[in-house]
Amino acid sequence: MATEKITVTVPAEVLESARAAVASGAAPSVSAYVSEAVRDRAERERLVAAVEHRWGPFDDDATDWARRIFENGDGDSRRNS
Amino acid sequence: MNLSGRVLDVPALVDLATGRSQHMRALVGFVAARGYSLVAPATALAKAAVVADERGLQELAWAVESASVVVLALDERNAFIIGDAARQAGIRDVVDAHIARAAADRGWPIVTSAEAAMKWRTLGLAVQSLP
Repeated sequence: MATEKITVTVPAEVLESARAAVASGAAPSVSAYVSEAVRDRAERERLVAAVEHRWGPFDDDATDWARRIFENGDGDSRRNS
Repeated sequence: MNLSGRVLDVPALVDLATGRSQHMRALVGFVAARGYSLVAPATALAKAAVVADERGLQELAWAVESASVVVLALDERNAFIIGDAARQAGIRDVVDAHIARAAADRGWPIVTSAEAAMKWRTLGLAVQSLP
């Protein structure tokens, strides 16, 4: 795969995370770490666009419900145990 | 509780297939945007496919192919584990057993219909009900 050298500015904690990943062996290099993050985000955005195209747009009620499912943690969940 | 994913049961998958409400499909979009996960046991997917029409099957297939919903296999590696856990929990239905195990293993709530919610709660599993 062709690569190109670029200069980017990132928050210190982002760089720290990348270096920690490299140090732990989770990523082969800072470049690989950043590339993977960018690739993951691009893939996520592609999927969101595909879902919107196929099934959207969604009304506010459905969108709010979907958000609450995750933001409220337990949501309406209850356990009997 | 691990908040990064949810398990879909049969009513949730049927809702996704039919688009009866917009909620399941909106959930797929939200999960994709946030990088969370939705998983469907293969047995539940098969059962939902039984009641879906041709269009519904296409929608379910798209959800799987696009990786919006990740399918959990029932195979030689987990069949006995799931069966044993189900027997101990008093679950007789293999689809329910597969769903319950998927939720318990991950600590994720089950997204389901209001009608089916009590079944999971009785088993001590967290649920989130469709409207």
